[in-house]
Order: sequence, then C-alpha cells, then structure tokens
Amino acid sequence: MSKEQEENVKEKGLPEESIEITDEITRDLVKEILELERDNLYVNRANLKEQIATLVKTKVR
Amino acid sequence: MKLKKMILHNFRQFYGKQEIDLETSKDSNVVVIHGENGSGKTTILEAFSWCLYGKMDLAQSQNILNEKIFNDLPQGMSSDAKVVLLFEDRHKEYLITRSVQVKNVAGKQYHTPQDQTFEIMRDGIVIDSPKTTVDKILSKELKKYFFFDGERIDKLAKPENAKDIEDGIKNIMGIAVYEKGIKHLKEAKKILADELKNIIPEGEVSPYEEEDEIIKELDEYKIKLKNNIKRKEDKIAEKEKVSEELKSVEELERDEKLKIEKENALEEYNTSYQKLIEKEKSLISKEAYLAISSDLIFEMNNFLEEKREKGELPSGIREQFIQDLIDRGTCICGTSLVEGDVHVDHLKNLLHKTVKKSVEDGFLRLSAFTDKVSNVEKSFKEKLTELYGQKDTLLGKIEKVTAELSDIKTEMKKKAEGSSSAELIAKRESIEETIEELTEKIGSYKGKIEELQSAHEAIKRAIEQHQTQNRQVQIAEKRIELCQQAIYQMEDIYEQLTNKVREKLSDKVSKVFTTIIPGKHAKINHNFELEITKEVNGSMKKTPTSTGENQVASLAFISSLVNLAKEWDEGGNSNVFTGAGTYPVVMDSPFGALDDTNRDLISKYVQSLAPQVIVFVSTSQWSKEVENNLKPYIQHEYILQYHNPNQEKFKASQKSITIDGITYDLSVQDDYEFTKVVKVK
Repeated sequence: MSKEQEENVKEKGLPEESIEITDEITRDLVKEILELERDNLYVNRANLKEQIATLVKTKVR
Repeated sequence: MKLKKMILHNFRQFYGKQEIDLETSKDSNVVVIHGENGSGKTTILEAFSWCLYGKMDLAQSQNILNEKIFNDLPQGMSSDAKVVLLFEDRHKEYLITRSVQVKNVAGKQYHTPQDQTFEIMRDGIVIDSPKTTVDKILSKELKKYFFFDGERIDKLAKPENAKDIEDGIKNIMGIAVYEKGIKHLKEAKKILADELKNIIPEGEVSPYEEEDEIIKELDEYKIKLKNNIKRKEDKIAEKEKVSEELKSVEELERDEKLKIEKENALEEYNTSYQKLIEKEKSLISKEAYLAISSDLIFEMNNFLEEKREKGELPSGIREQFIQDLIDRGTCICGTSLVEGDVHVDHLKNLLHKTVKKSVEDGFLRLSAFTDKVSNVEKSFKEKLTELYGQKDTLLGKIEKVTAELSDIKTEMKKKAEGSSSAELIAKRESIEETIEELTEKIGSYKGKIEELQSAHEAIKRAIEQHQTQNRQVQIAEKRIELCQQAIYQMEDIYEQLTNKVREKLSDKVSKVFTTIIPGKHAKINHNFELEITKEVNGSMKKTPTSTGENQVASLAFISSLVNLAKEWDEGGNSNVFTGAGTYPVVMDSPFGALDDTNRDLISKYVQSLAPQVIVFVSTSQWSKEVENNLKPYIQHEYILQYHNPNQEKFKASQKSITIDGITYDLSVQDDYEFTKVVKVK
C-alpha cells in the first residue's frame, strides 16, 4: 500500500483497494443494459430498474 | 413482417368466413382493395389492429360480432367473431388468431377482455408469450406508421406532430432502447443512491475522528504518566538521599545511645574493677599473713604428729574409741569382743595406758589450729587467683569499651556534620507526600490510560466495521458513478444515433419528396419537424404547404422510415437498431385528400413506399392514372361488395368497378347487410 493509500485509509477511511470505473466496464454495462432493454422493449416489466441495479452491482463489488 | 393472409370470421360486417390473400412478390408488392365508403375498408385496417393488439379504433367497437349472426343469436347465447392473420417475419411464419365470444345480453353485444382468446403459432407451434412476440415484431407504437388512414397522414407534416416524427424515428430505429435504458438506469441509480443512504446514516461521526481524539488523549496521559513516573522516581531517589542523610542522624542518635551504653558499661566495669581491688586488698590484709607463716605451721604439725605417733601426746579418741569397741562387743575387724576374752582384756589394758584428758584436748586444739592455718593459706591463694582473673577480664572489657567509645565519638563527630535531623525528617515527609500524590496520579493516569486503551480497542473495532462499511460505501458510490458514466455514454450515443438517423431519414425524405414533387424539398429538421422548402434566389426557404404536399411529405417520411429499417435489417443491424426490419404499409384511402396532380404523383410512388403495400381505395380515388401507375405492381386485387337489404339505399349507393374489363358490383341487394370480399386478381 502506498503512502497515499495509507493516508487515505487513515484519514478518509477509504479501503485499501480502490475500485476503478474503467471505460471497458462502462461499455460492458451499456451493452448489457441495451440487451436487457431490447429483450424487454415491449414487455411491461416494472422491475427493469432493479435488474439494471443488479447488473451494476455485478460490475462493482 | 410480410403479410400473407387475413381471414375474417363473422367480424363486424364480414359475414361468415372471408379470406384476403395478402402475399406479394418483390416486383408485385401491391394489394389493392376496392370499396366504397362504409363497405369495410377501415374495418379491415382495424382488423389488423384488433388481431394484433386486441383493440381497434372504430365506432361501436363493442360490436365485433357480425350483425346478422348476432341478430340470429338468442338472448343469453354467445357466438364467436375471429380474425386470423398469417404473416412472415425474419423467415418464420406466424399465424395469429384472435377471437372473442360475444353474448347477446338484452339485444346488445356483451364481451369482456377475458372473453377474448389470443394465440400465436410460429412455424406451426403455439408459443407461450403471444403478446410479447407481437410487440417484438410490430409494436403498438410502430403500428401507426404502417397501418394508417391516408386521409389523415398529412398531419405528420404539421409542426405540432413533430413528436410523432421523433417517436417514429426512435421507435423504428430502436433508439427508444437507449431512451428507456437511460430512464431505467437513472431509476437504478436512485435505487443505489438510496442503498448508499442506508449504509451510512446522516450525521454519523467518523470513527477515525473519534480515534484521533482518543489517541491524542491517550498520548497526553502517557506523557503525563511517564513524567509522573519519572518525578516519582526522582522523588524516591531524593527520599532515599534524605533517608540516607536521616539515617546518618539516626545513627548518630544510635551512636549516642551506644556511647552512653558503653560509657555506662565502662563505668560499671571500672566500679567492678575497683571493687575487685578492694576485695584484693581485704583478702591480702586478712589472709596474707597465714600464707607467709605457712612453713612454720607445717613444721609444728609434723612435730605434733610425731609426738602423737609416739604416744607422747594423749589421744582422747583412743580411750573413748576403745571403750566404745568394748561396749559394742565387736571389733572393727569383726572379731567378737566378749567379756573375759583375751581381746577384751587387751583393750582394757590399753585403756589403762591412756593420758589425761586435758593434755589430750590441748593437743587436739593445737592440731586443729595447725590444720586451720593450712586451709587458710590454700583458700587465700585460690581467692587471690580468682580475683586476678576477674580483674583481667574486667580490664579487657574496659579496654574494649574504651576503644569502642573512642570510635563512637569519632564517628559521631563525623556524622554530626550536615543538616539537622528535624529538617531532614520534614523534607522526607514532604517528599513522601509528593510521592504519595504522584502515586495517586500515576494510578489515576494508568486507570485513565487503561480506560482510553479500552476505548481505543473499541474504536478500532468500530474502524474495522467502518472500513467494512466504507468499503460498502465506496462500492455503493462507485456503482452510482458507474451508473452516471453509463448514463453519459448512453445519452451521448442516443444523441448521436438520433441525429444520425434523423439526418439519414431526412436525406431519404428529401429524395422521395423531390421525386414526387419536383422543385420542392422536404427534410426533417433538428426539431424533428417535416419541413418543406423551396429554393428561392439560391437559398432554401420554408414555403406555405398544401394538404397534398403535407401528405406527400408524410408518406415520404413513412417510406423513408420503412426503407431505412429494411436497409438496416438487411445490413444485419437489427441487434443495434431494434426497429430494423421489413414492414408493410397498409393505407386506407391514400389518395383521399389529394388533388389529381398529387394523386397521380403519389400513385407512381406507392409501390416504392414499402416492400409490401396494401391500399384501400374507393372508386372516386381510383382514377385511370392511379390504376395505370399501380397496375404493374398489383399482386392481388379485391373488391368489398356491400350487401344491402334496403332497396332504396341500395339504389342510392349502387356502384360498380371495372377491372381488367370485368365489371364488379360494389353494392348488392340482399336479405341482410354484410360485406363480401370478392377476389378480382
């Protein structure tokens, strides 16, 4: 752990490992959301937001 | 979607089973259905809608069952109306059947959505989700662009309907997916934000701040403890020093006592010694002369003994002794002494030979004296020897004590130098008080430190928990951040895609419009308005538009939409553009509001509108030009023959149409009212 990370851990309480949101993660998410939306485009399912939230959770955990 | 066949079964005015073959070929892609007003053109248009979605936009839409069938239906009895649609989509054949059981309730058609049955077979197999399947093939949102009333299509070209243009673009091109995705993603973001709120309650103090406070306090107390321990150690050292000093004083006192003791002892020894000297003097004075005359007395004793042994000195003992032996009758040797015996006689002779008693006593007294003198000499010497021994002992003690006293005095002198004992004691007491205070403080500090350490341990656990919590917080925040980034990305794509599609469609619209109406241009502007312009002095300017021009622009838009969807579908982009696909265009009265010129122009273009075009036309719209323009592309041609029991009405509406030299009655008198689909071609 770098000094800066140590300081972060100490001062800001941030965890040791930082989670980076890369363009690849974002692209994958967008792609999967679009697939989900396409599959459900004409299906009146109120739980799409929950499904997307779950999808986001699988990307950052 | 390629329409193949429609079967109407007791549906509205279509009595019995009526079939319309809709299948077209690439070159002959047009189906024309002729019918006068009220014959059922719009009903067929709405039959598509009812079959696909269960709804239709017709007057008295509750009356689905054919009137003749219903009128024959006894009260409380039911009968079915049905529409079957056969079509192909992406190389799969779909057979959709929707029917409804209509009951005669007090002469009125009664049915509920539950009375409807809806079934889809795909390649001969019934599928589980008919509604979703229909939506995927042709959603309700899209339907209005392909199944429409031509007389009202011009409305699309009006600015207030720009939203329809925009929606059409978005829905057909699947851009709506992005729109919905963004909407749902924003909602998901809110869910995640709410989750974040639940992780850390508002106003909660960070345990790190608490830890910092504790560590700070702990450090302070540790310093205090250290300082006080050091102070205590210093005080203890100081006390030891004072005690040492005090010890010296105490030793002085003890030396003093010892000195006194020694002095007393010395005095006692000296007194004893003096007594011994006195005793010696007395002994010598009383008994020393005997010791001096001891030799003379010895010589006298020897002289007297010699006399006595010679018998020259009477012995009172012998006379008495002899008499005692005679009296007792036994000699000291055990010989019996009996009167008259020799022994007794001999003893009696001895008695006669004894000296006088006074002489003997004198001798005895002298002997006693000489013996006594001899004993006195012996005693004197012994006593004197003892005295000398005692004197020697005492002298040794005196000498020792004197030396000790001397040492004590020297030591005392040395020790007496320095502070006084009282001061030292006070000082030591003060130090002891300080030490006591420091001990209390140290104890207190230790207690406080233990308390703080305990609190620190607790806060460490809280920090661990907080770190875990923080991890969750960070994850939650990152999830929200990811949502936001995805939203930005999707919005960006959405905007780019929308503009790309709009521009592409605009180009197509312009091309189609100019083909139909040369000299004028149409485009889809940034506000998704169909804009008709004309070149004036080298620049394109908006011009006032006629209904015909608006209708042409609208058809051009629909045509462009259909063709772009087809292009992208054929280009394998259906995964990207969900609306990409092949769509038919089903138009009721497409030439209704057009003047002759525009009608002719449009009729030239109808076959290009879509891969499959179904048009419903009345005889008034079916001009020679229109017929000539469409003829080469017609695959099927039907007439809707209206059967009418009312003779007067029949006479009034009696019309016919001649197709390929054959005349067909469009209105026929019959026993009851219904429409018959008559195939012409």
